Amino acid sequence: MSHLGSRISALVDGQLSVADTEKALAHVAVCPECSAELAASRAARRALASADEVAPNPDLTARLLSLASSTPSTDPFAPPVRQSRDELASYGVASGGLGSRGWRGSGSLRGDVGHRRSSVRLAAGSMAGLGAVAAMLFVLGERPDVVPTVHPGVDLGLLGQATTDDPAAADRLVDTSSWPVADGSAEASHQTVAWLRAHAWTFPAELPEGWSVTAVRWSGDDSRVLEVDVTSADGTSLVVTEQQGRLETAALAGAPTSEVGGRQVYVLSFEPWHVVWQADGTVVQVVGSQSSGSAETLVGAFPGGAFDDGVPARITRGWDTVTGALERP
Amino acid sequence: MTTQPAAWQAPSWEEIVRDHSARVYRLAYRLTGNKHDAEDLTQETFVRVFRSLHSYTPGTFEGWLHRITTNLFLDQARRRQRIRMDAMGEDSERYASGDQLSAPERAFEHGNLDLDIQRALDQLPPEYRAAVVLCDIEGLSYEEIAVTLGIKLGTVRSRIHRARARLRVSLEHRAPAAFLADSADSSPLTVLG
Repeated sequence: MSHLGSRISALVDGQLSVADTEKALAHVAVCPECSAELAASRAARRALASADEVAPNPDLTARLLSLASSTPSTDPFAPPVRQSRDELASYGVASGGLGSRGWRGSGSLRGDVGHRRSSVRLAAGSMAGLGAVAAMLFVLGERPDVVPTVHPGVDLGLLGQATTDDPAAADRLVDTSSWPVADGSAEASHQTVAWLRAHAWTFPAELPEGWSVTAVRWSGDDSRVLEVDVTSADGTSLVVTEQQGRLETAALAGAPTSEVGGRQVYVLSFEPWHVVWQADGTVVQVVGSQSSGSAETLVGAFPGGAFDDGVPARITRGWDTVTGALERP
Repeated sequence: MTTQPAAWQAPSWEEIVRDHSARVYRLAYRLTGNKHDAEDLTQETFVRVFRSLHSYTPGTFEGWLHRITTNLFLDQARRRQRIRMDAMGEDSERYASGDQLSAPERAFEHGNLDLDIQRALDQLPPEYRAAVVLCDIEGLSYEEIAVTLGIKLGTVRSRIHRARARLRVSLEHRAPAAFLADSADSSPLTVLG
């Protein structure tokens, strides 16, 4: 009989059939080589088995428990989040993964502009008189109220699917085809930022040192929520979500506010770190695993002030809506 | 344990975390080789579990968790490996999750022998490491490992065999005393005991 080879391991693990075990043992009894091999194999197995028990840190267990903390008494087998369209948390969870809504060029992005705007174009054509137009713009300048969702599970889910690859060492063999523009190189990152700003999204003109955009995608029922993954050189990864609308501050009455990077933000959760603020006509939320100096720098870099509900501001927003519609091919 | 699917009661999230987090963490720790990555891997595993609980059909929960954890680990490891191979050119033989090993705080995480074992594990290619950890630390059968890793039974056997051979070499190197004392009393005829 030839030497046992990898059957040694199967023998050590008791994974051979009775007949094969008999045969193998008979061979070992007469073959010093396999006998030594078997002893060594057993020793290696025992060394591993003698490895100390490692226990998770209580913090980790608490974090895991908090995944479901906002739905304590409900059926955990139900889908984790049910959301109406203007709540941000339709977030990633329902968006079907990274690739499906990946950025495939600005053409398709423009195609995503809401249907309301096409009726605007018709309306704009038939309207006559400056006053009527102004009134129309005023109406169009209205924005929905946005109620941010506080749910650690949603935040962690969002972070879990964020693109965090260090762009400098980005693995170009995987996935990058879904976001050719935001593929992480400094130049592409720059272009992405320019595009976002040109389309009235709130975004820093220059990302702080070391930060880059790793992915951009849409989520929400009708793709009206913008998600931007940003990563810094020190490995911090944040997901920025933006949505046109007015932050419903009444719903945030209990949430602590904090001064982050020179801006007043609502802190919805500390771990994961989740802050939200109003920047002009946009509600911006930033989610990260935890607060850090570099994360605060990024928040500080965002432009924008309070929601302005005055007549001129509304007319301006209405005008933006109309031009956004006319810009469609 | 009840086994009838009809009467199967969905566990609460708290039960799931309480019953399984230690096991998932242990597996994650042995696979990644350090506390930080193990926590990340554990958390990521539970995020997946949480997201897909509604689509989970009763089966072995342990098997499901093993599968998620090892697959996430192997995905990450392959990604890193590729990056490292790009960066290091010819030196692709280095599979160890390197950087963490020299960190001084590592030494205080666990005892010395344990550290030697972990370092030996870290030097294995990720696929071998996964097989041998599932076998020797998690106590899975070859069939279970084959299902978990999606490979053939023969492949499981040869990976475990090669992993043990490599472990032996590096352990003899690092902790000869402990290793030899360990192997001295082994007699081939008691293997099934």
